Amino acid sequence: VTTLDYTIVIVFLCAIAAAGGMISRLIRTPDDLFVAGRQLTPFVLAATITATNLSMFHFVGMGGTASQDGVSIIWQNWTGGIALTLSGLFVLPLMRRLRIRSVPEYLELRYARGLRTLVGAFWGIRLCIYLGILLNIAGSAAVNITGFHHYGAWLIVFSAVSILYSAVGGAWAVAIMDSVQFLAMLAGALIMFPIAMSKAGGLPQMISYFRVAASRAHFVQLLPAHGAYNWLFVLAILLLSIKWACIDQAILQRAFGSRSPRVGAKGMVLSGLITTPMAFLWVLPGLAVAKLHPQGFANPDQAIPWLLSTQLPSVARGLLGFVLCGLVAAQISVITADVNSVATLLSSDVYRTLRRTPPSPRELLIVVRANSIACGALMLSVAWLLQYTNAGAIKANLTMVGILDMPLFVVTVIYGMAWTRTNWQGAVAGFIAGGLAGVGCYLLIDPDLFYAYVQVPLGWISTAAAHWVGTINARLAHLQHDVRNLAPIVSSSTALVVTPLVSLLFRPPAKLPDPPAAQPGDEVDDFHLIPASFLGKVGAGMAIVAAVVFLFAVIAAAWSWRAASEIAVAAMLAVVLGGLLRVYVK
Amino acid sequence: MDWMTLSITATGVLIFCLWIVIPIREYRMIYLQLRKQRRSEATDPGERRT
Repeated sequence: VTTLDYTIVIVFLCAIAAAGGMISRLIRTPDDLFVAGRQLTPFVLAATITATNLSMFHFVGMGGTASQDGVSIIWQNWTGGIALTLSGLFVLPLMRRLRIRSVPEYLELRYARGLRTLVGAFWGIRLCIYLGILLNIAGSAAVNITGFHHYGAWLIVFSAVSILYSAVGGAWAVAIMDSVQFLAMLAGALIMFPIAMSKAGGLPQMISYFRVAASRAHFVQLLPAHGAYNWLFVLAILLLSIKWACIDQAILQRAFGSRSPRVGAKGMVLSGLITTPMAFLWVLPGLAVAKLHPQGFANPDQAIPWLLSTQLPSVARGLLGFVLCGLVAAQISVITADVNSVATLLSSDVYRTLRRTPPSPRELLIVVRANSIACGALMLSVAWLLQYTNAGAIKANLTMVGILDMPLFVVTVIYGMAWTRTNWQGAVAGFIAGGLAGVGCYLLIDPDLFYAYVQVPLGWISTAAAHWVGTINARLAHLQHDVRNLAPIVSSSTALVVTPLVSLLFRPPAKLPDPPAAQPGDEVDDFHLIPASFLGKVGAGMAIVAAVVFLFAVIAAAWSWRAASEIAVAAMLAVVLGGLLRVYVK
Repeated sequence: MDWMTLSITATGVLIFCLWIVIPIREYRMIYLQLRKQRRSEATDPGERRT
């Protein structure tokens, strides 16, 4: 990295910190800090949702995975596009209409206040830990790419910029700066992509190269029947993506800032649409690394930093600086959006619900800013501690989140919106049972976890019982490579069964309150679950039918059906285009 | 540059250009609306947004 590259990155960081700080003049009420005064428009919303979604994990992590296992990791983004579209059409408008600021607030309206406080506190803390992981990835990547081995210094630079403008400027600063950072990350990817393809001899040649290499032919298969990122991975990631697009606080909070339910739906569908072609920009460079550096890397996360530090400087001076700005923008936009979400959860869902009298707007503004700073301190501590541990801690955290969020999605969206008979007792039971089933799935199938946490403790009580569960583990051993994909399916299925059964044992809940009356300046709310116009019905129908076809194509890939990949891609595009038609016609 | 790389890059450039032009118009609209709202608040201090 040259002095010119460093200068470009430093100027970029100073500019976004200063601009973010200046936006604080827009802040007058808590709603300005939480949901940008509910003024956001479709393209601004699409940019901020996309910037909140994409992080350095996509550029470095997914590119690295593609260099090791092929292009099928791209479904992580593509299923995200399907999920954003479906959530935009059928879930977000219902929540936006209630003028809520967070998903736990919906849980209070639908079930009970206690559930709001509990989920708000749980999500707030776990988002702080996730932010620590994001900061750790950013710090480690900066050390790898620049060769400036001061991990702590990188952490302080990234967190200072993010905390400064999200605490001062709130959701307004996040939305406006996300639009700029979205462009910076896209520009960085657009510089990296053609250079990587040209160094690898061009995209068609690269595809032919992998097709003839027998051991790596699956590298260019979109839906492989076998391997780490096979059809089962696509099925599991589809479920997790739908969960993410329907209940993720950071994503939905941006959409709650929309001018109306229709604008929110437009923003989400547009974000799904633009993420689809953009995914090529970071997955295919990973494939180029697989060709240029066939011996691979001990850690796949080193693949893209290797590409950047060895291939880019030979093209032009300063180019690496611009790509680094894109990477920094990707990471900072996610961190600031999440800091804003943590501040909302801890202030609006925990502090406010625990107080007997509602705080004044001025008091709430102070609490939100104090929470943003506290979140930053916790994030920094987690990132600092992560340098002393291995990747296992990060993996365990992400696994737990994956397991616990699926049952929460079932009780919030599936039963919360589709079955009015569900009460808080059923919701709590479904959440706990689903979480336990997901954890049980890991404990029974993963041999290391099984030995440490099941067989040894059970052996202290009864040797016969330990031997019996040992035979179950042996029978399930063939599933150990798919446990990561099976756990979300098991946890959500359990919640699907337990929630209605327990709900029927208790009294029906109170009716969901009617949406608040429109306020002066609000746009007319003309978005209905079932569209009024013929074209709207065609668009919504097309999205639903295509989503079902997609599901069948993915399952058919298990039997190595030749046309599965083509049909899955066509169905994915049909979902997004159907969604686009639905939101743009009245 | 081969046609596949060219078409993916061109799509990316198109998204880049669209997301410069349209959000600038949208931000201008938001700014004008906010200015109108703040002015009406200044002339009628009893009315505050909630």
